[in-house]
Amino acid sequence: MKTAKPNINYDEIVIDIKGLYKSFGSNHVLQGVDLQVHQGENVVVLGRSGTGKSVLIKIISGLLYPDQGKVNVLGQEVPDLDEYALRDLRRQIGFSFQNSALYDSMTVGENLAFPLKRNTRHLSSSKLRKSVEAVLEAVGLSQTLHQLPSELSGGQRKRIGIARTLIMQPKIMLYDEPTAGLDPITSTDINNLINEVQQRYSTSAIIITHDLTCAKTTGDKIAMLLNGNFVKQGSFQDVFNTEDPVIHSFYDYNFIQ
Amino acid sequence: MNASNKRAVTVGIFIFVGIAIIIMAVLTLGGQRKTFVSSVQVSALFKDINGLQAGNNIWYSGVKIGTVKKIEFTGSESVKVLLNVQEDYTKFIHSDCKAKIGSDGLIGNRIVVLFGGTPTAPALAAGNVLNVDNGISTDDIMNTLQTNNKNLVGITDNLKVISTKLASGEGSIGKLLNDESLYNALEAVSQALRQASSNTQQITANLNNYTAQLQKKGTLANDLVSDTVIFAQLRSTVRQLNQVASTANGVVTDLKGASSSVNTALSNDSSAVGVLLHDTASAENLRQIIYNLQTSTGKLDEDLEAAQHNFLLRGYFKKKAKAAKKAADAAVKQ
Amino acid sequence: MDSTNWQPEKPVISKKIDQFFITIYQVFLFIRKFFREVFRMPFERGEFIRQCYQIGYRSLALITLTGFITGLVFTKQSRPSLAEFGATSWLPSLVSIAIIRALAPLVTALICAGKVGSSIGAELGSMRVTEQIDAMEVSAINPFKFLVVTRVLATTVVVPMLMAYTGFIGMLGSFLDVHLNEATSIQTFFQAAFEKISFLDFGASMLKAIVYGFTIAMVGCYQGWNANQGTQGVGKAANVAVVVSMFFIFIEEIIIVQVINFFR
Repeated sequence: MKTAKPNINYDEIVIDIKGLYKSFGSNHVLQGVDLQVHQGENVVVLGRSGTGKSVLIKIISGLLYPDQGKVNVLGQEVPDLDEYALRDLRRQIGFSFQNSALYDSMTVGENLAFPLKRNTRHLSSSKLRKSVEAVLEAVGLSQTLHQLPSELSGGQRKRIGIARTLIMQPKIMLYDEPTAGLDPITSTDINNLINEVQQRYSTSAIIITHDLTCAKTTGDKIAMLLNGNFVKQGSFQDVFNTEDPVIHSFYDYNFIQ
Repeated sequence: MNASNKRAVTVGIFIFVGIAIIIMAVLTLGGQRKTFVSSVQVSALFKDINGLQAGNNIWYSGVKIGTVKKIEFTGSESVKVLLNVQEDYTKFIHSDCKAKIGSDGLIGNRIVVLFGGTPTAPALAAGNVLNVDNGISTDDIMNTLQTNNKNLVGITDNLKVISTKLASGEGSIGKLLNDESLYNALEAVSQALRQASSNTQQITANLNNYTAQLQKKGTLANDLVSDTVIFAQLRSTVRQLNQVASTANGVVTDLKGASSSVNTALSNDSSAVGVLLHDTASAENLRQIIYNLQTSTGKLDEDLEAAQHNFLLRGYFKKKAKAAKKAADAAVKQ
Repeated sequence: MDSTNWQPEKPVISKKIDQFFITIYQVFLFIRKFFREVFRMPFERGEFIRQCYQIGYRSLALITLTGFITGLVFTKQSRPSLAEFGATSWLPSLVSIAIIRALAPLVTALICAGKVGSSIGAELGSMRVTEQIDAMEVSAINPFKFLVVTRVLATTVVVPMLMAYTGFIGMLGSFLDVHLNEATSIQTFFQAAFEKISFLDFGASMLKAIVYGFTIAMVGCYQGWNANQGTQGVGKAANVAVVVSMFFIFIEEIIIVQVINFFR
């Protein structure tokens, strides 16, 4: 299904989380989470809504601070980083938001150029345009360059959102519910895109989802988050070939849907 | 978590209290102006402060030198006003200066005005009680204006009475302006004078004739001339006649002058008061003069009549009448 | 740490009062952050100019109408009481003082609070709830600098300009009324009007406008920046931005007037 690339060291750990705690008031969403992501690996975090899946990747990207625990990304302890170091680290992380989070006031082209322009000094406009066209081509939406986000469909927005992160050529991709709110066909397109990105840009990724199809298609490793803890980690088959009723209820529920 | 929350609350309280203090300070200090200037407090007792309020300004020579600090009653009709005078100015103000209530415009704010003070008196010091001068307030100005108004009304009333009287012919001016008979009399006088002068002319012409005939010998006249006494008498008569005529002339000139001066006096407003001062006596005098003139001209007429009937001249007049008749006859015969 | 030994936080005073002071603390942090970021390079010049255009040009029509009507109506309503003294010739100076000292800054600020404050609150609020701000954050862009600093600076610069413009338009409105009633020429009107205006008056109004502009943008940004999830949060942010900034404008008006009185 997936071809191994010679330039990737699959043993190297890019994200290493140990004993992570996070609570909002009396709501304890993460209670001692451990997770490792190797280079070139797509890890799918499965779980029901409100179980703190998004919180996990927000902590990884430095948007939220953990109450306790270690979050090591690309060899750097995220909670300890100052503003500038964090920004440097973030240039190597791509974050695809659940609702794409495209800038409404800008066209697709401007949306794509925005992070690149602000993070690269002395960038010629021709180079900028080339980069924009390249990522647009990669997500297959070259024709939308001058459109506003409001004119795009949900699937297109998602693609542009992914393209916007790709333009920075990140080492790690964080997908927050990539297939949420999309029809099955578009979902399949997005799943394929995620795999394509992994192949083409040699990224490691954490994919947050509750969609089993997505998990099955994109995940090299599945982690099941329940009650603030990973109850099961392993391949898709490993995770679901179990008698654990909690996991099965999730499985059944998803397929009935 | 608990500790950081506590810290947030503490800092929040600290900021809140700080802002509250700043706002309160600004609001209270803003109410009393020039709070930071050190001042000297003096007082003055007024009967009436005309609506002066705490915070109103104090002026000295038109310069603002402080504000009214407080106003309090110390008895009936006795208001104590505490004045905060800026310390910088006190050395220019002497302790025996006076205070009065004024305003910085006709409808402006009330102010306390300090004025006067002798240079030898010590400078103003805290606790001094200033003398009060109940000077001109706007109320006083209004009162004075009211009196002025009344006076004006009185004056115009009088003027109205005077002009009414003038119109109705009372007083000398009124009489002069209104008496028709006086005008008529004047007219008559001048008529009579004209008559008299024409008579005089005729007489003198006759006299000329007569004197010319005196040179001819054998005539009565020549005989008469030799009688020097009669001749002298005749001469004096003629001289007197001349005098009368010239006097009459003068009177007429005077009259003309008088009437013209009355005219100018009437048309001239400035002399109106002078004219008003003339009494009825002058009018009476004028009438007397005119009356006299009338009588004098009447007498002149009589004199001339008498001269015609004089026996010395009777013959001459008869001859003249005959000659005239002859001439008339001749004229008829022709 | 386990869920079993978790105990509810002990409030310092009470939950609601605590929340009030925590909000003050957060506002303080927000303002401090602004002053830190504002002096940090690079300056987002393009976005600043774009915001100036948005805030200034877009409010111009509303400001023109409001300013003109304010001047006109104020003159109309002041006329009878001045006419009682036969002092309608004082109208230009009276109106100019009222407009320059009080009306122009206040009217401009209230209009801008309604138009600019709400739009900033709604814009940032919607960016917050659709995670656009987070998106900037994770693409290594400083969203505070890009969104908040530019908007606050632009509003602080533009509101004084709008204030001067409102004052001018208000005077024109006043002139129209005076001209129609007393047939005063425009030169005479403005001569009489500016006779009573000192530089302190204008400077004080400028200061007011600067403070109001800063307040409007700060409140709008704070509300939008801290908007809760959901579209309801956007509406609330816009609404609260207007209400709170108007409230602060009046508080500041009192304080600034008092402070200016020290110098008068």
